[in-house]
Formats: sequence, structure tokens, C-alpha cells
Amino acid sequence: MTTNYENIAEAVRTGEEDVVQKLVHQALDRGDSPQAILDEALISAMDEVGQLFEQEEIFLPELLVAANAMKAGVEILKPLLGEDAIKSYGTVIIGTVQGDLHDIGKSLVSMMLERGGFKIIDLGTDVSPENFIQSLKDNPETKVLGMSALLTTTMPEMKTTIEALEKAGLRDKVKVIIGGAPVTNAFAQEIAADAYAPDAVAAKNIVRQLVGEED
Amino acid sequence: MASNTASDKLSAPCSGNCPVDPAEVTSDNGMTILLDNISVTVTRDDILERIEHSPERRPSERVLSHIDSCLSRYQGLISARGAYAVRTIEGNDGRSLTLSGGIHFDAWNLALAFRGCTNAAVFIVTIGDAIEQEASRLMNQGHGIQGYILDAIGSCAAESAADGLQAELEKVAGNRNQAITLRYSPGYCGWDIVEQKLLFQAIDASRVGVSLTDSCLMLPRKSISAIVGMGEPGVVAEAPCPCEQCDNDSCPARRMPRRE
Ligand code: B12
Ligand code: SF4
Repeated sequence: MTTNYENIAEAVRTGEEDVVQKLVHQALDRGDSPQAILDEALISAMDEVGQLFEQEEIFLPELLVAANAMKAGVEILKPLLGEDAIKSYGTVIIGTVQGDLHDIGKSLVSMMLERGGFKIIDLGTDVSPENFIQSLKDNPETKVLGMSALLTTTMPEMKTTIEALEKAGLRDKVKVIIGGAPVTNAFAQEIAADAYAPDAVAAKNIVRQLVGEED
Repeated sequence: MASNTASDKLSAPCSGNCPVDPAEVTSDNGMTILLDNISVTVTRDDILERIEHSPERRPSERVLSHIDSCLSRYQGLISARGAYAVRTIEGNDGRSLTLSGGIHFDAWNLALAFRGCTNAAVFIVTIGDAIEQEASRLMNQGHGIQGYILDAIGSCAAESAADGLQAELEKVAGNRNQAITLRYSPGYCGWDIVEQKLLFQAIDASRVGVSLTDSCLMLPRKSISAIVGMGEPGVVAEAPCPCEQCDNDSCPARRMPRRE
């Protein structure tokens, strides 16, 4: 069994979607639990790939190739687990702030969080404070709110949103993490966000810390 | 002060086979000249430079094959066009620059780099929005790697279009026995991105189909705005480089050390 999981992990690392799918099917046929395959093979392989990224052994493209392969495996497990069982670490609402239409960076963060075991509610771009708040109200189980901005001119919207959360009495219900090219740790502190992350892998690790699920 | 005002963003009557007198086209009244056939090339190396951050490393075969497959289709997703407007420099006090039409850039880097220049050409290029839409679509469908690479190709293509327009400006300047400086963009080199609003007063951006939002975001996203100084070749060659005085110690594009 372990060997099979190691093989799955290896195929995730090298981005071989078809091999991942074949091995996941094999493991299921053998009677392994879908949850075990998800946690012990797929998510842990992605974590390992994330570590290689942090050590600068690989770069974002390789990470994304692995993320694609992992997804191929998850797709097989999804119907067996049910949508909710898959997302084990909690819900994260994410969006690009009002006035900003950049989505690639934010979507990469969504993707890494999702592969890292979170349920993602991606509100897209140009998200107003009101929309963030409405989504929080609609999804009260949400643990983390993520905001992205790519221009210094839209960064102040992050502060506005945090202030709106306070006014709505929701600020202590969620942790707030921010990111995007011009955003810095110092800015996060200045606007009283809980965290900042420079890239998608750091985002996944920090969000896990924020929800008390770090490894 | 010249008779031009910020509002006289005259449009050239046509593009392409334009019957406008070349003398008029290269005049300094801020007339917006359209270039709708800028050729753009993006190579594997351009993309690797953008996404790999390390020239020594060779990415995995799988990544390379994704790059090649995106490269095989990007041309169908871009339509590069640009426009420029030449204006007279009416003032340069060493900290800011005033162009005809009363356009005043509070930008020390321009003041320095354009020292001695008599004219400036403001320009905008875009590659359209098809590629960004396709990148987002792929991303949202979970094809992260393809979306990411296509987005990076779009960024490289926008830079390539800007290089193309700059090369054209070099010719325009050459015809006037002038040379051009490097290009500078709002948001870079200590020039506040908010001055995009002024730059958009210096040129009729609607002619290239680029708009500026209240938050100074250009749409389509894969667009670049910039300005080059124009002057006697000797003067341009002698002009100081803003890097000498710039305190951005982490700048990857620094051309010379900071002078203490
Ligand atoms: C490529 C690029 C371009 C391309 C494409 C831009 C585009 N909009 O698609 C081109 C060449 C067209 C361009 C143009 C311009 N650019 Co530009 N560009 C960049 C560059 C080099 C990379 C941006 C990028 O695409 N990164 C790849 C994506 C995937 O990364 P990302 O979005 O940053 O997301 C990652 C992280 O930030 C983080 N993250 C993102 N969101 C979130 C959210 C959360 C919650 C967390 C935790 C993390 C997180 O994780 C993501 C994945 O790892 C940056 C500098 C830089 N190194 O970041 C400048 C940069 C964004 N550009 C800048 C500027 C100024 C411009 C222009 C205004 C210049 C001009 N006058 O023409 C224009 C504006 C274009 C417009 N539409 O208005 C400035 C903005 C600074 C400012 N003052 O706001 C930057 C920061 C460069 C600088 N000066 O330092 N640009
Ligand atoms: S160091 Fe970098 S930011 Fe500063 S002027 Fe030079 S190129 Fe521009």
C-alpha cells in the first residue's frame, strides 16, 4: 500500500496525470479508503512539492503541473467522498478588491489552497467590501478571508474592507490574509490584517497556521 | 507657452495608409498617431525568464511542452496596436517636467533622464483582451499551468509591442535628427502610478482601445503606457541615468549603482 502511495506521490510530482489516475483506481480497487488516498497520497504529495518550491528546488510552473496531476486524482475521489468531506481544513473566501481586475495571482492562491485541503469561495475580481461581507454572512463557517491587489492604487481597498468587517461586527470571526505584487508585510500590519503571503505556497502554509492546522 | 491645451488631443484622420503629411505627423502638437500593425514575438526564453526566475535552471520537459503548446497558439489571441503623441517639453526644473498642453508630470526620474531634451513622445500599447480572457478561462477551469503560461505570454507580448513602438519612435526621431531616451512608465522608477491620469491627457488612448479606470488600471490589462524623451543625439547620450539617484535597492532592472 505504501509503495502505491509513494508511486502516486511521484506521479503527482512529475505531473503525470494519467499515471496518477491509474494508480488511484488501483488503490480503490484494492479497497483503500478514498480519504486515505486523498490525505496520505495526494495532499501529502502536494505538500512535498510545496516544500521543494520553498527550497527553490522547483518553480511555480512545476508546482502547477503537479497541481494539475493532483486534481486528476481528486476528481476520481470526489464522487466517493462527497464534496464536503474533501475539504478538511475549513472555508476560505477570496477575492480581488474593488477597482482591481487582476485575477491570475488570486486564482493561483485559490488553487493552491484548494489543493491544500480548503474549501474555496472565490468571489472573483472587483469585489466590494459589501460583497465580502455578504459572502461571510452567507457562509458563516468561513475561517479566513483573502484579499488580492496588484496596484498600489487599489491596496487601500483592503483597509476599507477590514474597517467594514469591523463595523459589521465580523472582524473577529475571520482571519484576514492579504497579498499581491505591491503588498508587503508592513502594509498588512499597518492595516491590521492578520497575515501577508508573498506567493501561493506561502499562502497555503500561512492559512493553515491561521486556522491552527499547520503540520 | 504653445497654443496646445490638454484638450486638443487631435486624432490623425486614419491609420495604415495614412495620407497625412509626414511633417504634420511628426509635429509636436500632441496629435495622436495610431500604429495598428505592430509585430510581436515571444520566445521560449522570454517566457522562461519571466516564470522561472533563474537562468541556469532548465524546467521539466512537461513545463516546456506546455510552453510550446501555448506558444503555438498565442498569435491568434493577440492584436497588438499602439499610439503615440509627440509634445514639446516646455519646462524641466530638475524635479518635474512640463509638456505642451500644460501637462505637468511630478516625476524626478523624467526630469533627470530628459535633461536637455526638447520633446517627449507619450505612448500606449496594448495586445487586446483575448489572451487575458483565455488565460482566466483556463485558470478557472483548473488548468492552472496553461492559464499561467498564457498570462505570462501576454505580459511578454505587451513588452514586445512596447519595444516595437519604441523602435518606431526611434525612426520618427531619426527623421528629425533626434535620438530618444529609454522609456519610462508611471508606476516605475519612483514615478507615481496616479500620474497615469495625466499621461492619458497627453494622448487619445481611445484610438487604441485602451481605457483607464478610476483606480489607474488600464484595460485591456496587457497594456503599457510610457514616455520617451527626444533630443539632439549628443544631448540624449549625455543625459544622466535616474538609477544614480534611485533608492530602490531591490530593483532588478538597476542599470548602475546608486551614487551616495
Ligand atoms: C507582468 C507585469 C506586467 C505585465 C502584465 C500586467 C497585467 N496586469 O497582467 C505588463 C507588462 C502588461 C504590465 C503593465 C503594467 N505594469 Co506591471 N508588472 C508586472 C510584474 C512584473 C508581474 C506581475 C504578474 O503578472 N505576476 C504574476 C502573478 C501570477 O503574480 P501576482 O499577481 O503577483 O500573484 C502572486 C503573489 O502576488 C501572491 N498573491 C496574489 N494575490 C494574493 C492574495 C492573497 C490573499 C495572498 C496571500 C497572496 C496573493 O500569490 C500569487 C501567486 O504566487 C509586476 C512586478 C512583480 N514582480 O510582481 C509588475 C507591476 C505589477 N506592474 C506595475 C506597473 C506600474 C505597471 C504599469 C502601470 C506600467 C505602465 N505604466 O504601463 C502597467 C499597468 C497595466 C495595467 N493594466 O494597468 C507595478 C505596480 C506598482 C504600483 N504602483 O501599483 C508592479 C508591481 C511593478 C513595480 N513597479 O514594482 N505589468
Ligand atoms: S534602480 Fe530601478 S526603479 Fe530605480 S530608476 Fe533604476 S530602473 Fe528605475
